[in-house]
Amino acid sequence: MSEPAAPPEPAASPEPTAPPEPAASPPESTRTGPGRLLVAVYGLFALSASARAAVQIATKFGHAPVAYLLSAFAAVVYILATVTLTVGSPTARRIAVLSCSVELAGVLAVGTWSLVDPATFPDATVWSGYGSGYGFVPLVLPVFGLLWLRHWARRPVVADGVAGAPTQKYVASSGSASGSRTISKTGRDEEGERRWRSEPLPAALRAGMSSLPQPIATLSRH
Amino acid sequence: MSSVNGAVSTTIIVAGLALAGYALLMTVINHRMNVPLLAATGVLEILLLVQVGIIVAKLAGGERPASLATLIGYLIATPLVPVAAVFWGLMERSRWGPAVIAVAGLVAAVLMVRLHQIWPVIHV
Repeated sequence: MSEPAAPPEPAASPEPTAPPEPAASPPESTRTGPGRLLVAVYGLFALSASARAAVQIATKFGHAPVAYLLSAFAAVVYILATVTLTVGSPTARRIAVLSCSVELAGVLAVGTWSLVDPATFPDATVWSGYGSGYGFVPLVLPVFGLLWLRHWARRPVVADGVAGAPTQKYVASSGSASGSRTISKTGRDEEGERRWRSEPLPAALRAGMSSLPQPIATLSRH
Repeated sequence: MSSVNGAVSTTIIVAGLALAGYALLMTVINHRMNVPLLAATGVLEILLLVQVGIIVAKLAGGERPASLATLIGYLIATPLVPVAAVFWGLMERSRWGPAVIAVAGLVAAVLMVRLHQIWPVIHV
């Protein structure tokens, strides 16, 4: 760059005239934003539940075997949710939905069980009394986890580290208006439809689509 | 010498709750992590280390709680709470960084109550 005899390059392109957003904001994931708090609380419960279960099972398993095994199960669910929410890939999000659902079902089932049949629980689990020993956080946590994951499932653009790229690829593969017709006819590409609805289409493409048959042209209205 | 002075535990509970309130306020008014919040978290960390030191000294004196394994687990985990929260919170460049610190403040307060339950000579 400092060499004056260098061939005339477009000096502006590597200079910081580009929009600063990609560098300024971290890549979005299930572990950023509100997810940062969610993962922190899940990690806390993963640690405390597994440590508690380990001590209970190692030192006095015969005292309350059902309670301690349920504690260990809860620990596994919390660990799974923590890891999958941190990773945040599509597969991890699916596993996270599963573990949050199991967690919600578990806290409701064990909470009811512990109230109906206290004799089975001489010692408490994380989920006893709907998590009353933990400020009912175990009851609230899976609800927020599932809401957060649903928010992600409804996100228009895939943000797994390639923000912007999916839309670009999709438009490029469609090419002309006839190309986009071919793609639109291939059944229900739900993810693609979401992108179409949320992203402002290029003006030329939109003009081409408005001349298309009705079911396809409705896509451009969103 | 039969019991641990409750002043440190009480101070940690007050400091933890105050830190949680301050951090939650930052989240509400949409502020990121800043130096005052880090300094306040550092103060909490120092208090927790003092508490751990007091308990270790008591263990070295020969006294034992009912569940020694649990107490040792708490002694290891307690000072790590603010450290982990700062690392995790600093990675977030939004209002949700201070929210992580708020959790750490609340956890520190709860841990003091749990320490007292594990070993009643640790007064609150």
